[in-house]
Parts: sequence; C-alpha cells; structure tokens
Amino acid sequence: MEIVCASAKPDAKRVLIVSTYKTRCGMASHAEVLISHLKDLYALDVFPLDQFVLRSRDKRVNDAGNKAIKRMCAKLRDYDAVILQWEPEFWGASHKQILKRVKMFTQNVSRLIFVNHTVMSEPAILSFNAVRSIAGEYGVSSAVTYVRDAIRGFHSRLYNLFKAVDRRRELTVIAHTRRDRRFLEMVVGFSDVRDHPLFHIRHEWRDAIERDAKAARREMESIYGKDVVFIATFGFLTDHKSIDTAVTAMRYLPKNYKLLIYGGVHPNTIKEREPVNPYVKSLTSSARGDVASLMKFAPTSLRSGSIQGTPVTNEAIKNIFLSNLPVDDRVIFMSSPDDYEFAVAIGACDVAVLPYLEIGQSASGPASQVLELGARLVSTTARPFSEIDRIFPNRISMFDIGNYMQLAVAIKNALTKPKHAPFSLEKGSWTQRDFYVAAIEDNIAKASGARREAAE
Amino acid sequence: MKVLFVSTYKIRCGIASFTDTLETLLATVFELDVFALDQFVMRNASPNVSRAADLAIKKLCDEIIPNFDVINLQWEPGLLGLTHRQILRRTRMIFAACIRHNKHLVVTAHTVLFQPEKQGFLSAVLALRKDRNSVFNYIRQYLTNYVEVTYRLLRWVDRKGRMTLIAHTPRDRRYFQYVIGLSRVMDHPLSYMRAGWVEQLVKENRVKRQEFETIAGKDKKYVVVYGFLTDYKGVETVIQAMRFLPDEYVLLIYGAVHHANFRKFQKVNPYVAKLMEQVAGDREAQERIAKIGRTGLRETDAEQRELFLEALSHLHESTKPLTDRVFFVEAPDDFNLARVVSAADVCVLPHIEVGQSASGVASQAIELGKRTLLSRTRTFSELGDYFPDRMEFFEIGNALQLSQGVFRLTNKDEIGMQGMPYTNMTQAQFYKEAFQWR
Repeated sequence: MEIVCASAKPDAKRVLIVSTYKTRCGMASHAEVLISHLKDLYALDVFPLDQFVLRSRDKRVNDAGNKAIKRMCAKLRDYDAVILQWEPEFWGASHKQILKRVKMFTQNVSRLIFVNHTVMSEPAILSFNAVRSIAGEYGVSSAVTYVRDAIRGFHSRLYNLFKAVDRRRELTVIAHTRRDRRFLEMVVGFSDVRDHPLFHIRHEWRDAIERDAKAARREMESIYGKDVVFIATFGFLTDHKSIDTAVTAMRYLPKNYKLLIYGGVHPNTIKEREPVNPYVKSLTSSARGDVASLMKFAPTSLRSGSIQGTPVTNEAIKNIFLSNLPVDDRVIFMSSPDDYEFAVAIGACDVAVLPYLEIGQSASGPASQVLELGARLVSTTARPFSEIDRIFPNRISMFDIGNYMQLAVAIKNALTKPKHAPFSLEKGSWTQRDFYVAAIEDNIAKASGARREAAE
Repeated sequence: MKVLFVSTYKIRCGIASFTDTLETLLATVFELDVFALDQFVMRNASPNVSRAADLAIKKLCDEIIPNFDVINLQWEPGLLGLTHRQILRRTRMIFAACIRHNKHLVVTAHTVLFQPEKQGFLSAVLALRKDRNSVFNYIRQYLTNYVEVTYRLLRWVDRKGRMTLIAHTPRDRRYFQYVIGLSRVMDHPLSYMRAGWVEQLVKENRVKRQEFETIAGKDKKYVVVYGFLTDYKGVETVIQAMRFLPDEYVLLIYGAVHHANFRKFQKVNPYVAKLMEQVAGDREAQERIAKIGRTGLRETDAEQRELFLEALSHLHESTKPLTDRVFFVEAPDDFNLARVVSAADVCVLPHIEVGQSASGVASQAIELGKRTLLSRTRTFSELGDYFPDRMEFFEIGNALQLSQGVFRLTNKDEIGMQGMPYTNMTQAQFYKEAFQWR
C-alpha cells in the first residue's frame, strides 16, 4: 500500500485521493470517475485503501496497515488538497482500529475535501430489549460493542475528529443527496457542506459511448432478432435487487420482449461446495416454469373441462398454462459488466428496469447513470429512486415494490415515450466535475485565508 | 547457473507437468536437473519405506544441493510425505540444507494452506475456568499445528537464507507477503504450454477437428469440457445447458475418474452415474408424452390445443435423451489436451467453488485465445484480473446462463492470441528473473 501516481502534471496543484482503488466496488469506480475528470487540471495521486490489509485482524497485517497509513500521513503536507472518499468500514476491522487510523489521518491532514458515501447516526435509544436481542442473535461481544458505542458514541467520535479539521477552517464536506447534506449541516454541525448527485460517466467515454452502444445493439439484434424489445436489469444477484419481479413480469409481456440480466453473484456470498447459488436457482426455476406439473392434469382436464374434479372455464386453463410455461428463451443472463460495459449496455437497451427493494440506501448510482445516458428508466418507488425523481421530475416510470403486473404496464408505458438525448440533464458528470473543482479551489482559498488571519 | 527442480517427474500429475513445462522453457538459459520425488516411496507410512525416503532426502541435502546454485521446490506439501510429521521433517531437512550451503531457494507454492482461526494467549488464560487444558492446548497448537509450523519454517528460511516464493494469483501473493510476512514474493499465472507447442498446435488443428467430426458428426459446434471427473467439476451444469441449445451444439467430455477415487468392487463411480443419468433424460416423462401422442387431443379448442402442444414440446425438450449430443471421450495427456482445447469451438470450465488457489487448465484455454466460459469461482475471478476481457463468466451452476453464453460466444469471432498479457514466454522470463537474484 503506497501512494500511486494517477496522472503526472508538473507545475499544477497537487491533489491526493484517498480511496479504494482498482477493485470492484462502487467507491473505487467513483474515484476513477474523479481522476478521469480532474486529471487535466491537477496532478493527481491516489492512496489505495487496500481492504485485504486494512480489514485483517491478524496482528502482523494490522501492523503493516498502520505503518502504511503512517507513511501516507507523513506525506500529506506535500499536497495542495486531499480528497477523502469516506466509508468508515474501509479503515479497519474493529472500531478501535478505525478510530486510531482516522485520528492519525485527521491530525496530519490540511485542506480536506470530505466526500460522504455513508451518513452515520448513533443507535437511537439504548434499551435493555435491544441489547438483549443483539446478544441473543450476534453474541455477547457484539452487544458489548453496541452498548459501548451507544455510550461513548463511535460515530460522533469519528465526526468530532473531522470537526477539528473544520475548526481549523480547512474542511469542505460533500454529500450526495439533499437529505444527507441537511443531516451533516444540522445534526453533525459542519460549516461548509455542499451536495451534488453522484454520476459515473468518465470524461473519455463521452464520444465513444454512443458509437459503442450502437455497435452493441447491432450485435444483440444479430443474435436475438431485429424486432426484439430489450429490457435490461442491473446489479448483483441478491434478494434485495428483486430481479425475480422482472422475470415474472415477462409472462405478462408480448413474446418479442426479452429481459437481459446484467450482473452476477457477489463474490463474498459464494460458498464452498455449493452447486448453485439459491437466488440464482430461484431465478432460473421461475424462468423455466413448471411444465411437468401441467402434464399431470392436462390431458384429462382439457377433455373434461375440470382440474382435480373442480370445473374450470377455458379462460382459467389458459391462465394456468400461461403462468407455468417456460419463458427461459426470453430471460437472458449476461455476465457482469465492468463500468464501461455497463454504460454501453444502458445505451443499447430499450428500457432499463431497477426493481430493487428498499434497503435504506440514500442514493442509487445505476439510476443516475441511466438517466444521464438518456435511457428510459422503470424503477420501484424505493427511497433512492424517489430522491432522484425529485431532482429530475418526469424521467422515471415507477411501480410498487414487487408488483410485477404494474411493472409490465410500466414497461409498456415507458416504451411509448421517446428516449432522451444522452447528457441532456441539467446536472451530470460534467457539472459534477465543476462542482469538485469549485470545492477544491474554495477549500484552498479558505484555508490559506485562515492561515493569513492566524499569522496576522 | 545450475538449477535443481525438486518435484514429481514424468508421472500423471499437474505438478510433474508443470516441472516439465519449465524444463522445456528454460533449457536454453540454465543448466537444469530434476530430483524426482517418487510418490510410492514418499507417500508411504510403513517404517522401512519411510526410512528409505528419509535417506533419499538426506542424500539430496548432503550430496546434490551443494552442486547447484538455485533450488526450485515445487511445493505441494503432500508430495513430500503422507503424514504431517513426515512432511514437516522432510521440508525442514531441505530448508536447512539450503541455509547451510547458502543456496537460493525458490518455492513455487501450488497450495495455499490457510491458517486456522487463532485465539489469543490472553483469552486462552481466561478460558481456564471452563477448560483446564486451554493454556496447554494453546501452547501445543503453537508448537505442533501443521500449518503454523509450515509457515514458521518458511519464515525461518526467509530470515536465515535466501528465498523467493512464487504464487499463482495476486491474492495468494498478498497472503504470503502480508499475512505470512515473507520478504520476496512474486506472482505469475500458471502456464502449461511447453516451448514450441503453439506452432505445432496451429499446424495440427485440422487433424483434431476431423477426430471431433468422426465422434460427433460434421458441421457441429463443439463445446468441450475437460478435467478429472469429480464432484466439484460441475460437468452436470454443461449437460443441462445442452438442453437449451440448438441441436448443432455437441458436448465432448475429455476426462476420467481420478485414480485416488477408485473403490474396490464399485461398478460405476457415483459421479459418472449421475452424469449418465442426466444424459439419458427422463424416461417416465418420455413415455407419458408418447402416450398422449397416441391418444391425441381431439376434443380441445384451437387455442388450448396450441398451448398444450407448446407445453408438450417444452417437456419433450427437457426430458429427451442427449446421447447423440453428449460424448464421453477420453482422458488425454498434456499435449493431446492442448490439441483438444485448440480445436474446440468453446471451452467450458464449470467448476463449483472449493477454495482452490490456481487453475492451470483454465489459463490454457485463455492462452490459446479460445472462446472460454468460466464459472464465477474465486479462482477464476483472479484469472480475470490477469487476462481482462479474454473470457466470459457465468454463475456457478446456472445452466441457462451457460447456454446463453455459449450461444453468444459462438456468434462472435475468437479472440486469438494477439496481445496476450501472460504466455509461456512471459513465464520463462519470469522464472529467469526469479532465479537470477543477487
């Protein structure tokens, strides 16, 4: 873990980005976006937060992590500004480790841009029942941690470290939603908080993306046919992405609609000696339907008009068939794309569907990316999407979580509207760039002003 | 510079193949010799054979090692002995000899033993109230635990002598560097391609292709899986996937049951039986379809009739026998395997996750620039970092996705071997650098 040079630019201002780097995680790709946009203006270096080293409980590795952070802290004063991508868990495996390292960092840093990916609040009330249930479920040590944090306030202690930087007037705080900004301003009490939605399109993609999306579209058409409507979902295959809603909705859509599932199982949920991941299995079996069960009663029922003795109408028989016949030729698993392929896939499909459940996230990267690229978006009414809907009204067709009938209708509705031109939103990756430039410049000016005052 | 390989040699085993590969690649650069670890002698618990093995190792240490500059140990602990005591004793002997004679030891780690969860000394003391032996157990584990002692030995050579450790994935490299704390660790993906094979393979491609045609018929798309047939190879996923693919796709299975899995008086290996059952299809359902075919569907209205026929055809597809599209071929030797891979249309490695550290067979298909489909195990994902955009992944066990991936890939051109980031030649260069140190 050493500081690496992302773009050399002699006699420009020097900026250090502290973030995960070159791994598969949302923060690492956001760091790449920043680098691609800022590299023309600043000399950029990156300090990669190597999770393998930092999140280990082994003593030897732990020491190696501490030393790496110490070395980085010694060099902090060489930079004109430091951008910290903040997610507390990335700094250590235990609260003690995290506090120790972050303290080391905040004491040495000057001119800090503090980018909040998570907004943390303390457990609300310290009740006996809560402690008892945590102890029962996760063990006594977790309960002890919970109580200690509630009393001593792990999160507020972390925020206090950053408030010390704020008192030196060297801190600019960045949030990704208005709600988070208000929290950081009013509850935590930072003085300079700004917000801008999160965008992921890199600087060098702009020209290539439309061309590549068209090529990808042609390739898809050559494989699956010309008059096909491509519906795409994105995200790791886990329960809370609720891709099964989209699979079920395919039964209520015409046969030339195909669902492309981009994404795979999260690496951390792969278990040893498991022949197939349970969620993947449920998706494929829902796509394959249950033909064998139809066969059991079909020949007799078709003739007598009854199933297991109960008379049914033709319509009912038809419905039973419709809900059990396979749709596996219309549900297509694509492999999980990297950041650029993801953007190209959005450009190539007709409708992007995000059927995610509510999990308490405040912003959604995929949604903003779909909107920025001008694609049609159908999403659930979960909070991250409502937040984006508030910023860019009338761009999203929404449906209730889990309602596949409504989803089918929403997809048909969305298709009646034209696609927007890419990059036509009033905010986007390029305003995000200006936003960061302004934050860096203001921060430098503010800090040097504060120093001058102190000198006088 | 004189280099000695300590490894199995000229037998059917992945490590022997790898030593063979290195030998052909480095023959022009170094003076090479191999100390063969005879598995019959090494892996034997009876005292007199064990003594003979110890003597052989002692001879290696006292008489052979002093004559070489670099000792390359192909390190798969099981090759040095059957019991933990044998393995540790012999490892220690070899390491000590390298230190004594001040030779550069290069350890190629084929297996990564992960350390067991360790409790701290303090918690062992605290646990005394519950368990009187807790402190004793702690000390015993510290002194005698196989993995602990193995890694202590490695650190010992690292400190006292000159050692380089070679890992086969970035993850393993970091493990040895940070967790074990070794000073010189390098990584490179495994390559089994001998020198001069690539040209030969291109020349012979046509011949192998003809062999495919005699087995499975002309104008087909040949999907190939290869490797020993054991539970975790996931071959059943590929057989299921064949049901979703058009008839011109055929599956050739190159592999056999591993010797270690032979049981006395067993009529058929259970895994092979399971695969055969999959290929044979569902006889009962087929009979039912035949019966419906005989009685006919006279009294139904047109729309219902159509739906029912559709359901019938789906049922037929998912239960019919695949004997004309799935072929069990043979277990080829290294060169023949390379020929099979290079002649195939698509290579599939459908393994399920078992915590393996590196896979040479997968990199073979990638190295030859074939259309390669890998299940998303950790091992294969690590390969994805070495060879970006040169393979496609599918979720472990997802036959539907696998079939769609095969279909997509066969509609695209092969990637070819241009611009390959790692090949057998980079491996040769890599070992040259590893050996020439100080």
